[in-house]
Amino acid sequence: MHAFFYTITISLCIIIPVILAILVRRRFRVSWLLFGVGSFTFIGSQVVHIPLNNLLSKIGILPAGTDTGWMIAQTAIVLGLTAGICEELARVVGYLVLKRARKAEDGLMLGIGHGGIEAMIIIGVLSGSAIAQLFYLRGVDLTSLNFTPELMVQIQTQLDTFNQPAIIGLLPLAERLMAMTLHVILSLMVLYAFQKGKRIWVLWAILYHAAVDGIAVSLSINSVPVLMIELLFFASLLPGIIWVVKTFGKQLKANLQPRLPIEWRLFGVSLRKELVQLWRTKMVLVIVGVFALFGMASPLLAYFMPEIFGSIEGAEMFKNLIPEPSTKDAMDQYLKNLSQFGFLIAIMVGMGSVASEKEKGLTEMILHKPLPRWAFITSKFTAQTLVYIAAFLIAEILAYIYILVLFEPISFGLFTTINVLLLLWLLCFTAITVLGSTVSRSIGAAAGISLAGSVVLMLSTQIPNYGSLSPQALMGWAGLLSSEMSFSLPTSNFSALGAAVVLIIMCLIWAVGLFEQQEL
Amino acid sequence: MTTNMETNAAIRCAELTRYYGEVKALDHLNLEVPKGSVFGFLGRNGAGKTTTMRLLTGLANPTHGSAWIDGIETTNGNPAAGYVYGYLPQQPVFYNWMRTWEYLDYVGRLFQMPTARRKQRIAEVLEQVDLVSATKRRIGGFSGGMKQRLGIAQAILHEPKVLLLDEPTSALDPAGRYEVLDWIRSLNGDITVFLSSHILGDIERICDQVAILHEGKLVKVGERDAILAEYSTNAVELQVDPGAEALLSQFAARLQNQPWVESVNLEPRQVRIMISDTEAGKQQLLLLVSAAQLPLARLEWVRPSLEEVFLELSE
Repeated sequence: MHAFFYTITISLCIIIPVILAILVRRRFRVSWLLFGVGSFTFIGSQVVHIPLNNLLSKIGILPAGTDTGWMIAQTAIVLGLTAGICEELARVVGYLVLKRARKAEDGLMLGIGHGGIEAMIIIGVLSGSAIAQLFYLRGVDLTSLNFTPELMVQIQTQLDTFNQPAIIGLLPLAERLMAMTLHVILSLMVLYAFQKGKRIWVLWAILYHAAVDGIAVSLSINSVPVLMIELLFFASLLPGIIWVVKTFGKQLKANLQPRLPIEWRLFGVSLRKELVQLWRTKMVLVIVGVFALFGMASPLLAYFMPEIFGSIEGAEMFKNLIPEPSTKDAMDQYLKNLSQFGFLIAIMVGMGSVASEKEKGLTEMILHKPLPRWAFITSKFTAQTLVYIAAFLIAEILAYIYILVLFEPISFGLFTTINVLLLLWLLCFTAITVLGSTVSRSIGAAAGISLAGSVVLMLSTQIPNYGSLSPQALMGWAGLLSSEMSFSLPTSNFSALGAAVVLIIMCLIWAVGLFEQQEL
Repeated sequence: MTTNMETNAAIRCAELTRYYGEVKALDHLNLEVPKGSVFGFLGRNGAGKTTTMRLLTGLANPTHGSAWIDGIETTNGNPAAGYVYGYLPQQPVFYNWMRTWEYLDYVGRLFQMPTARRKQRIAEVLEQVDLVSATKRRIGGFSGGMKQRLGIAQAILHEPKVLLLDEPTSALDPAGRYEVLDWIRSLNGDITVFLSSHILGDIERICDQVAILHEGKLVKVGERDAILAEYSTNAVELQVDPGAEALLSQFAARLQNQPWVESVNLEPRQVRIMISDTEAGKQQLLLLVSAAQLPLARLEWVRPSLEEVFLELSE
């Protein structure tokens, strides 16, 4: 039951910001770009915030311990102020970039983007693996593991949550919703500074942020019960909520627009056209053909590798050096082949999806009609996703049959899990390519941007301490599953899975946001 | 700014402005296009005609101002505004892999037309633009003229109240051009047509309302006949049969003495008379011609062409 509630929390922390943004979009016609910029203001602020805290810790301004009352107070003040300064100044930069975003609803969307990506990263990405590891440790004798006493205490405290009612798993969700509310309030406070031309409101925002964060930090250090901390956190939001209603209530009411008509049917029309286009332009055949070929050929190649070497003149001696092929070799071949060629196909298929239509003038012909731009972009991604699902399904079935015939049988469920991870990994490249294609006006530029983005993603696993959080780490997880031939929590990487979902969502939001601003 | 406006204007632009850097592509355009009119939009290259079309259709964003079509704002990024108008861009392009009916079917679906109605309208518009024989052909093999006709078909498929046509006859051969012009004229006030064209003869032939744009600014707008009358030159041209040159010369000399004549320009068989008092001229000119017993081949009160008015205003 705990697992169920934690899964709900993780899923909703990723989905709720998007749903909130959709609601704001429908009622105020705010651009998705505001959400995207809001997400960047959070990420940008953390690029400064985290090293700044490390620096303050090194020079002693941020105390190393929390032994005395003063040290606790100092920690709360410093952490609160650095959060306030970094995040509010990032919001200021966001508004400076968005020169026209001065309406109340713009602040609302920017705040949802800022708080939304924070929820997605903290819960959707970072918590995934941690919770999985806790579930693993639940049945393990901690003393048998090589943990330090401090770490042991920390882990035991976290494990104690499993002794509480399962619904406690929803607490992080409630906390993130409150944090999102705080970010909306702060975004509106900074917006107010721009609306009224009074910089003092940026300072008020910093101080309010510092106060709310500082209280939470000191309560947390003082081991106040979590539920009490959350209640006090909510209470600290009330003055902000009252200020927002008083200051922006009338503006928001006046700016309400009639609801947009139901657009899902148009998304369906566009998706249908995209699928027909992929079929008619033979893209479906190419994708499914390549995947089917490698699905079939991977076990065959692994099985006949010794014979292949034996038949090559001058390489006969290697035949006996190659160990007898196993299921693992077949799976490794499968992973290697599909990842190498799948990634290239994702770029080749996706790079022209938007750019070529802009280049030819097709977007001008179609997008003055009632088709919304979000539907235009997302239908392209969805159509490619559906084709990849079909391609993976065929590749999986063919590979599974050949593995059954040539090697030891493997679990179909496990093999399907590996394929789902591969699919999700591939969709990251598809989303990056759709974004690259939206940003550029020519297919060549789209290919360049998509390739560069994909290379960055592939190299991201090399980032010290953070590499395992990259969607690229899904390949590592899939590799471990294939070598161990079983699913286990210690080798799982739900953070990479969450990161892949978040990356895909953010690429699409940025693509739609930028496309809405473009002239066709 | 309101989204819906009850108005008699099919198209309304309020301070519609678009700058590209320092260049004012469109400068505070205030324009009302009456419902049911065929409205000609004239201007030299770069005058701002296509920019206006793109702003009206939401393909470009205004620097300032707003526009409404049939009372619905089209400059606020609301895709639902697309239901009220049909648009033919200057160079229509299509998915080359699609067949003619398939493209129109796709467009009909985008307008959420019910299946039966969609099929019926596709048959009707293909008939109207003379593409019935190409119904199942791939668009990739179409000529420029066929694409232009398909462009018109997709613009009128959903029976819009307002039709925006950017150079609709530019890629058509003379026969095709006349067919399209006849069709526009046959709309008989059911649809408001807002069209831009470089072919001023076309505009003069079918438009009852005209606007002239110059360097992004609206320099003239109104009923075609009123504009032509305003720029009337009060000139009369008179031509005689061969052999009557001497008589014509004597007649021209006599005209010089008339108080209602401003100037007389004599050519071998023709004289152009500029009249200062139109009423007196109308009463006395024919009497003088009769008295001089001129063998008259042609007598015409010269009205300025739209081209002349356009050139004068856009210089």
